[in-house]
Amino acid sequence: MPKRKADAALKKKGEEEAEDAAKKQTAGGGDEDDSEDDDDYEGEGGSEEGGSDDSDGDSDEGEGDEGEDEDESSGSGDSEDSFPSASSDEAESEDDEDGEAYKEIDCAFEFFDPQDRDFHGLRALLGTYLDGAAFDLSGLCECVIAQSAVGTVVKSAEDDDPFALLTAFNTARGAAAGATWLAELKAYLTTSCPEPALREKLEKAWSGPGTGLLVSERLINCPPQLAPPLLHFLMEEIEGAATDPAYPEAERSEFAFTRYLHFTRVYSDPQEEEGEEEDGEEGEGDKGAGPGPSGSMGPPPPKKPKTTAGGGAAAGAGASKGKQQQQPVIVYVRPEDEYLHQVCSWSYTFPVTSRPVAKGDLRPLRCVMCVEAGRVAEARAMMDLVVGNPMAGEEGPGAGGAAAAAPKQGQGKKQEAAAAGGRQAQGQGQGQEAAQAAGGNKGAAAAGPAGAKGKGKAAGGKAGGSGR
Amino acid sequence: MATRTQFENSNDVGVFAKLTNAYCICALGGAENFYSVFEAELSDHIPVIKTSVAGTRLVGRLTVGNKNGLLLPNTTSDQELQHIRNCLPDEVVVQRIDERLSALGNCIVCNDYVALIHPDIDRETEEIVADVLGVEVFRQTVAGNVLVGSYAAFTNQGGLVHPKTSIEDLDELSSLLQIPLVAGTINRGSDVIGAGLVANDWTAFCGLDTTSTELSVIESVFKLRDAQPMNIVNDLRASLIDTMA
Repeated sequence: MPKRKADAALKKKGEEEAEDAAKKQTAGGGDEDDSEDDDDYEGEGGSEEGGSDDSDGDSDEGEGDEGEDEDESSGSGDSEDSFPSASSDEAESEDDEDGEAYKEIDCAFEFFDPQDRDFHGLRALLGTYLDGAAFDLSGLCECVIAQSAVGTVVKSAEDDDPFALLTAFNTARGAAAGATWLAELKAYLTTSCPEPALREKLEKAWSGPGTGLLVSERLINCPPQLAPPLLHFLMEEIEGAATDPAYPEAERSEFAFTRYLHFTRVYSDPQEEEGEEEDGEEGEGDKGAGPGPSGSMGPPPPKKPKTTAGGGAAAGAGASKGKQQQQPVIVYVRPEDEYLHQVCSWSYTFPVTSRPVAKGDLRPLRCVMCVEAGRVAEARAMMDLVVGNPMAGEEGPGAGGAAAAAPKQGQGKKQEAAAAGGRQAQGQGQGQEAAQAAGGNKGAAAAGPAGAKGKGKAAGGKAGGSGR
Repeated sequence: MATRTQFENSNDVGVFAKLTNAYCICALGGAENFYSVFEAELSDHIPVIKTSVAGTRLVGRLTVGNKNGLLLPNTTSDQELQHIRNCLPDEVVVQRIDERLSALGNCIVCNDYVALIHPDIDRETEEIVADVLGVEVFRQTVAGNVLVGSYAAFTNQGGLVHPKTSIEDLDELSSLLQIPLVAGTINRGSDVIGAGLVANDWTAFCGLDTTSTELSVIESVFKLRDAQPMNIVNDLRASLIDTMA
């Protein structure tokens, strides 16, 4: 487990450099799809092939664990008692050049409205949106940029390419409704849907009024702390667009969403599946894999079937159903997915076949879910508890307030989120008090610079230390 | 003639293909569209082969070559090397070189006579380039960028470079290479020319997003335009009677 965190740290560090490097430097020009190649590229991590494959799978799994797996928190390996071998690993760590295997890196993430300058970056990010199938990608990027009212991109500086995107389109009305890419996306989702019943639901949701399609894409291994501010901005903008009297009525009703269609990437763990008797309940009216199996942290869950909202999750149900492989054990790499999946009305997953996957690795899936607008707040609250939300102000006493204080600046530049470094590590095992201690620490750290130009600092190392 | 195409939704044609006057190398893609576009245009004249390099699809950026030879990075596997050797004509010398900067396509750009290389490339590699490719080698930068292969593309007829190249640089490069050069963009404003475009003496391929302005610049600087219509306009103009008064 500590080694997995260390590998995640390496990947994060390498990823940071690889991101800057990937566009300009040697391997990987222009093709962000080959993220597997990034592993090979991180030569300075010195990973052997096998090693980096492991860490890829592991760190994906780790990030599915409610954001606990965080490089910042693992940064000061020595002070973390529960990860003793982190320090002993240093000697044999892959990045041995300076002994800087577990060095913390400070990342600043800034949130902007999508602008014309982001066109090529968005193209690179969204190129595989339909898993290699050709579609009107330029049209999608243009729609994202044109929709000024709603939508956020995450960049490390205004001139950089986006790391992450979150926006919402009305599927039935508005500029995007007639677009080619939307029709292609709908066709793709419909054909990939495993059941006719779900297909009908999808059709109904798609053509009904008030349905918002969430377009959400993130660079692989983005820190989970990006999700709460992204969702915060999205919901705030949607509400603003739906109620702002400055907009004409037609535009306002376009954003009056009653449900959201969320199309995202998840993974399934083949090893978990082999060990379990599948319950086999489809997602009809139910959640997908319940919260238990998805958190693949800690001891492997005993052979319990996937829970369904309807029946009790009795072991008997698993045996009696006899259907195998209906609902894979889902590993979520984006924190909001897990909670949205829990509150969704229906969902389905389908495998991604465009990329070859090594034998032991997590298998990539796409997940489509429909979430009633009213339940999004629930999901967000659950996520904020675990990951921490610097925008909310309720969480860390000092940090949230300080961060929220800086107003939304002009030119479409948004709040700079303070990364809640060690907080999720605490939230997991330590309960509230450590979280508050960490929050307090971070609040102090953040309050200083927040007034001027609050960059997100990874204060995880210090916070982690204080939590012990 | 310049053709617009895409590789699995990416306009970066130059990443997934390598085109010379003697052969064309394509990446293995999910859909056959990309390969078939090249095949349709080129297979009557030169071999078009599909391969991976170092297990990746980035054949355009990892390799460099011209009609005399092809250079592969040290990460190329033996099977790939053998496959490429088998498919290419014997006149083309295929060599795998040991160079720290292994993305040869980004660091080296060449036509059949001249090559520009990244300033930090080893002496030995420079000699091998001169030897295998049969070119004169110059260490240069393009618009201040060391990755000459990413920001410039040229053939024996002409070349396109990064849009921010200054006039002095353009003149200097042009006199080094002895071909006309133009500074321009590809794929709707992208400045990574080498990634967005592949060209040889009679054809070029660029991304689907390339505007018609960009395409006409490409066709004119690489001299791809079909000669006939221009002849009519230029040479025969004197004999055409436009007006009576």
